Amino acid sequence: MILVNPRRTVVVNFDGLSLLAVEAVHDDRIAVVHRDRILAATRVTEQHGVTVGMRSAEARARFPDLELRERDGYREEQWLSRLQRMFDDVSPHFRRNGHTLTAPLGPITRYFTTETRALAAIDAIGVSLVQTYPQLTVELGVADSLFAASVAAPLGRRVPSGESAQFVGGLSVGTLLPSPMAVLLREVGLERVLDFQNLEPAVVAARFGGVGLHWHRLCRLEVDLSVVDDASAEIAMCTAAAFDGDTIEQLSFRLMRSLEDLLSVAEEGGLVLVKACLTLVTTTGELTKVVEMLDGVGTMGLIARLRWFEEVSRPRRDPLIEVRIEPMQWSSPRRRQLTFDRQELKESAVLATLARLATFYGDDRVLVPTMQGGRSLRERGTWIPWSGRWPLSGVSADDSRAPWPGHLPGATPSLVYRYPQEVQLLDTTDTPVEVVGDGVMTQEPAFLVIGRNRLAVSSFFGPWVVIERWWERRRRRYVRLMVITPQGTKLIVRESRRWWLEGAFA
Amino acid sequence: MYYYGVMSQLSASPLLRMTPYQPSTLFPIKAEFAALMLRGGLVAGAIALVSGTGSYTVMIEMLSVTSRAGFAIAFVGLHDLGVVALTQSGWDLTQVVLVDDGPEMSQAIAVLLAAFDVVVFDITVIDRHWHRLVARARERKSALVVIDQDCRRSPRQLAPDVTLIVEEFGWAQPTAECPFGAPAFHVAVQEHGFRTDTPTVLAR
Repeated sequence: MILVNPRRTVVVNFDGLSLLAVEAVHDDRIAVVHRDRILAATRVTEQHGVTVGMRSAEARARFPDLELRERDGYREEQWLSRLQRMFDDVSPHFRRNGHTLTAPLGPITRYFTTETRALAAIDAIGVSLVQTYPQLTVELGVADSLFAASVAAPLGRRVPSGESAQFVGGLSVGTLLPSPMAVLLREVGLERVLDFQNLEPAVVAARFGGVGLHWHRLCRLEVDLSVVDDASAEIAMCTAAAFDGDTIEQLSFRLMRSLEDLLSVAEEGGLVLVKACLTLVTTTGELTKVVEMLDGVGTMGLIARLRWFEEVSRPRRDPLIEVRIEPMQWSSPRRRQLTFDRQELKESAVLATLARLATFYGDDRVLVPTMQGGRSLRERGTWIPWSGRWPLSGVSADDSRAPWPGHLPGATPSLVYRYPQEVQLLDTTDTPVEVVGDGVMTQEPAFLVIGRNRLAVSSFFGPWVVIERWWERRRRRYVRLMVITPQGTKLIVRESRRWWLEGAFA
Repeated sequence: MYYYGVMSQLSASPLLRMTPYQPSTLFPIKAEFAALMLRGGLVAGAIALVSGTGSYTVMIEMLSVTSRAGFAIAFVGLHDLGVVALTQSGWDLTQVVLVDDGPEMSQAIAVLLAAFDVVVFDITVIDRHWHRLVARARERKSALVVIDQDCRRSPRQLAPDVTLIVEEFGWAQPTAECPFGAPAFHVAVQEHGFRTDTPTVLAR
């Protein structure tokens, strides 16, 4: 859900915008129709019994001289932009939210010194608009959140500070909540939103699911509607709490809506999400992962990453308590410019491909090489998850070029096993070969047994003894040996009195 | 003919001259292998099969020049491939990616073909979608390199354009440059019915 700081908000609601868009005045016999339903009607038309929501055929039957005009959405938008510019005289913070204008009241109050004066200034513009365009009705709603102010606007209510929860609670469930919820609440005797507010969140979630919980939180003013203001500091995180038996699929689905709101709000402000922190809160602790996407990420991409992260990081399936997606970095979208530079085109194609693969198969399956310091082959060069950049940077660390004592320069097998396999090194009499002291072999190796394969050893190099952290209690001592067989050269390691296959020239 | 001033040859933009990527139908490969191929390199859209013991080493050696030339190379399912070996062979690690083992590997290869110049994978990845992958590789002008270390399938089943068979894979004597010796191999190349052999090549 989107968490915002509760603050005074003003919402300006315009009624009759569709009439204004089709250039109808109250003396005209005109009604605006959309999808065969009457959307708005002039005063004369209403006097003849035509009401909003009526089918056009019925309206014609009641008022045969009626002229029906199709809704003009484009002109409505133009008119709304024009009206918004008029309100800019009071405050530049007015933003469009559907067919209403909304603004935080705080900055306006600071300018006009008191809230009453600020609202009087907004009122003055509304009155002048109504005088100029009689078909327009301007209603003002003020409350402690965007949701409460949106509810208050059609009623023309200015709710005093701190009383918004009571105001919402005083409404009937039928006027505010979706009809399936309202019907069910009435059946159990809950008529007012106040009764709904007093219900336990767990009960609401169990009966009405994620949507019901969202409405519950809205009514209790715990969360707010989509933030229209593009101040990124207000967008904190998206979170979904888990209830009994909720799977990650259900949680992802529940997160999707709020995430879409979050990203669309940012998009309106010309921002895309490039870095986010995914958090899974389980009964045994928190698991966190930071994902980075240079070109920005959409809702589906982020949800897919979350599900991959959950699949990889929670093998024991501890019960989930909460799932969070926290935006860490926003950026302006990178404008794609047509270019003749093939390298640039290639790089963008590779980036798109890798992002797609990471979405399909998970971040941990798209790997890139990196070089670092160390003695063993797996330490010196390894594959790490892709970080979202191409071409890769920082592949070689300074440590990788440092002369590490104990590493074998030049002995670089083409295969370095992620999970070393246990092998047996035998002499001609099938006695296991051991290495004692500072690298003295008890017998000369004759056979290398890998699983069921018994390979004859033609020659060998070594052994080399490596002692790591000899000054510490957790020191490590192992011996390495390069063995040449007809099936290729193998690099084997003796540790804990057993031989392991570290790598092979295959 | 009228000349309005001195005609001079237009020089290419410095940016274009600097870019390593060249729109090419041929991927450069190591000279020892290139000499054996009919076109002198790995043709874009071609299917190459490397089979026999030592095929990973041969692949690393062969494609080191391709990588150094700035072409993007992807490995699929080869999570045991040694990063140090790639570095030693002179690969440009900034243009290499590995898609780890898992289900739907053919789909991953198909996605990679959209942007990567060469995609390398083990023969075990091949499934019933093989002919579709080949068609996609040819359309996208990317090369597929298949590794068959244990010679599990006959080349006829895959119908590769070029087959590299590692006939001998041994170990060269240590030298001052390589104190532990180095892998040495002998490769036969089959292409369109022609067969040519390399001299003994020393890796790295």
